[in-house]
Amino acid sequence: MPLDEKRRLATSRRIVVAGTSGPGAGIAAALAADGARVAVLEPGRDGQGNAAPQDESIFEVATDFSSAAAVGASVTAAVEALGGIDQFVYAWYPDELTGATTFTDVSEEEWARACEGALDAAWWLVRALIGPLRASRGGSIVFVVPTVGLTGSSGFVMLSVVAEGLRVLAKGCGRCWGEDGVAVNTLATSPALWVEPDHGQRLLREISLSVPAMGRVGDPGRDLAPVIELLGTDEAHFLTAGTLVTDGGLWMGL
Amino acid sequence: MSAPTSPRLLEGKTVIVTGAGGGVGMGIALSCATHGANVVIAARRIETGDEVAAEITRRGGNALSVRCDVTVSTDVTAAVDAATDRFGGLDCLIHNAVAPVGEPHKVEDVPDATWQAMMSTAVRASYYCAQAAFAQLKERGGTFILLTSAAGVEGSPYIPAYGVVKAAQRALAKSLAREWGPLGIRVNCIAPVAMTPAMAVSAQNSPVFLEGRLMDRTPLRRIGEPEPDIGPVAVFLASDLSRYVTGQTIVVDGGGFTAF
Repeated sequence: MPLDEKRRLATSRRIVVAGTSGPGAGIAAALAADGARVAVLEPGRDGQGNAAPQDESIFEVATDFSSAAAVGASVTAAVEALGGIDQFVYAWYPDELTGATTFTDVSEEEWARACEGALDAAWWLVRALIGPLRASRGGSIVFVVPTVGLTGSSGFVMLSVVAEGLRVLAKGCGRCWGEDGVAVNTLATSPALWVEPDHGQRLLREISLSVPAMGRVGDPGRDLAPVIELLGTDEAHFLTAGTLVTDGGLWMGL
Repeated sequence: MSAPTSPRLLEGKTVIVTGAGGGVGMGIALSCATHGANVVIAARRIETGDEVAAEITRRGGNALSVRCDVTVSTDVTAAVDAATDRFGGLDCLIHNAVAPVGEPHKVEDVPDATWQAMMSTAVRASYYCAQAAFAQLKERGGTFILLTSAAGVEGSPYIPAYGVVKAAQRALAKSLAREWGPLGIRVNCIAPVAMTPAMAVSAQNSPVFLEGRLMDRTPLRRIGEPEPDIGPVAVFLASDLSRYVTGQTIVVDGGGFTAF
């Protein structure tokens, strides 16, 4: 990364949703290691969130995604702790989404809680973010999704529904907020990063006749975070509402 | 009943169409009946469903009107039960019902009620329809069809909530196609553009219409009509002609959206 870009990253303020678990943790750590201040929102970790220590590059903020008001309060707390926001990264998929389940075994309660709950949370998040991003005179939103939304997937119906809903939410937001200088994009990643290891290989075979061109499914910190960083730079300001398939060359439908 | 211009592709099959009291759903229901299907008209306002059923009967077809609010699980189950009781089984469920898209809004201005209505009629109701129909579709090698939209592929600056839920439905169709294909069930989507009473209302305030944008991007230079333009595609997907088609979205919009 050029030095001037490195400097810019060092002053950037980012929120990562689900930055303590799964691929989001690797992304958040990489962003912080590259110099950004990172606030992590992670539902389900009651008491873990704390006031932002000013000398720490990465910290958790108390998070509640149970209502629009609660999401708004979580975002406000994170933005205040950061002193503004330049980029938002979404990587939250509750365990119920990433565990294999046959559709007919999904109860109505599970569908409502996991599938609709994730879509509700994302909807509320972007609505809470646009004000702070406008106040920052623009910025970047990145949804990190598994490609199962594009391909469909047996055993992971809810995950695919959420992933594709988020991808098109990004497009809608990108269309709405381009004139505000807010770019909204999607990083479509290997599903093997998100699901239980036993199911990863099956999913890859369901998606493609061949192995990934790069020979691996990708590492969140080494392979995904740099692209997210790029999307947060001025150099990428004209890229919005796009889907960047960052799976090492596995699924090539776009 | 007017003579079909092609063989009766759905003779002896039973089809449920939700939201069939008007618009695209009515057009699909009439087309299915024309092709010999027993059609269950599932409509929230039963008086509208009764009118469509009466029209099918007047044309010499078989129809049953049932009151069905697709956001109520027991209503959807009852519609499937009614189809089975009256016609002996179910071969196809077409989930077309959706909440009105409302006025154009940016993401941050969409009323909460609009978002919730979209989620209920598209995401939750699709769950209800799929669960309720599964056993019958499995038994008879049937088909499940979801009505979605190009907005569910490319997003929308005017009706962003609609785009999100229609995308969710497309992914549901793809995943169910993978999960149910080995069981002999096909799952597909239709993404139509058709002039319906609901669209006519939306058109009064939408830049898509007021600025002529929709027509400019439509090579066939007209808005589709539910029965002659959209209905036959549903008939195709419900019929054995499409026996090797699953997990797909057929965009029926006069050529406006050409990403696939």
